[in-house]
Amino acid sequence: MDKRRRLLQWFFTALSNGYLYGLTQNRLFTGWSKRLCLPGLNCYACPLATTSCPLGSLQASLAARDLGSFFYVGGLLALFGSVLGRFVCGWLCPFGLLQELLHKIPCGPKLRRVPGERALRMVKFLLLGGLCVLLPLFALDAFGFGKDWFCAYVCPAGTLEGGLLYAVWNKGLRPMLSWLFAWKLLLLVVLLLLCLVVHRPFCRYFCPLGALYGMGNHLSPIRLGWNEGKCTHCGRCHVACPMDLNPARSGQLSLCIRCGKCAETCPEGALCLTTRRCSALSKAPARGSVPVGS
Amino acid sequence: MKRLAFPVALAVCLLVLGLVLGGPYAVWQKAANLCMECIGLG
Repeated sequence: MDKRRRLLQWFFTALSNGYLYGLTQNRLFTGWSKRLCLPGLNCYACPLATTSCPLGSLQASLAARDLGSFFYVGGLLALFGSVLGRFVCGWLCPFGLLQELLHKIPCGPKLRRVPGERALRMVKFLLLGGLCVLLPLFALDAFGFGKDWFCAYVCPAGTLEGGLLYAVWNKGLRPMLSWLFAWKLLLLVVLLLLCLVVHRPFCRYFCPLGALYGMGNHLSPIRLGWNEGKCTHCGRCHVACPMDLNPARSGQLSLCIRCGKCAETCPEGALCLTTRRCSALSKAPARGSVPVGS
Repeated sequence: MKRLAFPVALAVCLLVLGLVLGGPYAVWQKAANLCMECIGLG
């Protein structure tokens, strides 16, 4: 399953960043596919980008108070979230792929949790509500326009895929590098270093898109199936989980990115990633509940 | 699946409304122009 997942991640990365000609021309792709938003986090300011970022488009629609784009992007996000949930994060997101690849680099101890883990996991909801919704809507400039606050001040995908590429390739833009670039570069560097020791720190703590899709985990037909009859509560699924969850206790949490590592690791075959209702499987229990027979 | 029906129906309605109101074109307008602040050059 992991090979299929990796293949799909690379496919979506290539699909959303396939405009290689843009690097030689040092200009944005302006084709029709930029009307589409693929579900993962991918900056549309990247010269390679062929599609739009749903998070950036959401902020832009709120900032411009444009109902058409708001309904369109909102509808897409609702569809992706309710049908796929955080399957997007585990299988489709290019930025998630980057974090996983960085984490594979052997570089000191790997941490399962960091100090302040619980509080940090709430930060992404604050970023979603504050920087992605409220500020674009209500923090207006002198002309009555808002701006995309998360993209402008935080988004590491924008810095990596857009800012750095333009800074390297376009000498004419270099004099425009300001404190904003330095700040975003600092955030990016800290995040990339964190990726070396923590699995997917951006997904865990800071991604507003993940926060949004996570709300759809309970609705999505892509679920973690758990066979309580087969489960021996050995805890290997917990050890294998990159998001430090215990799938045998709480498989439908908003944090689960549906990577399937728990299912691959389970020696009894008690866990599986499924879209089907299987009579041999029950849903993984809600958080806090105790499985029968334990 | 039943509990998915309402959110999907709502999402599709929003999508259709957005398509009718020219949402894709507005998204394209934003994405086709370089956002200086977004890439940290401002």
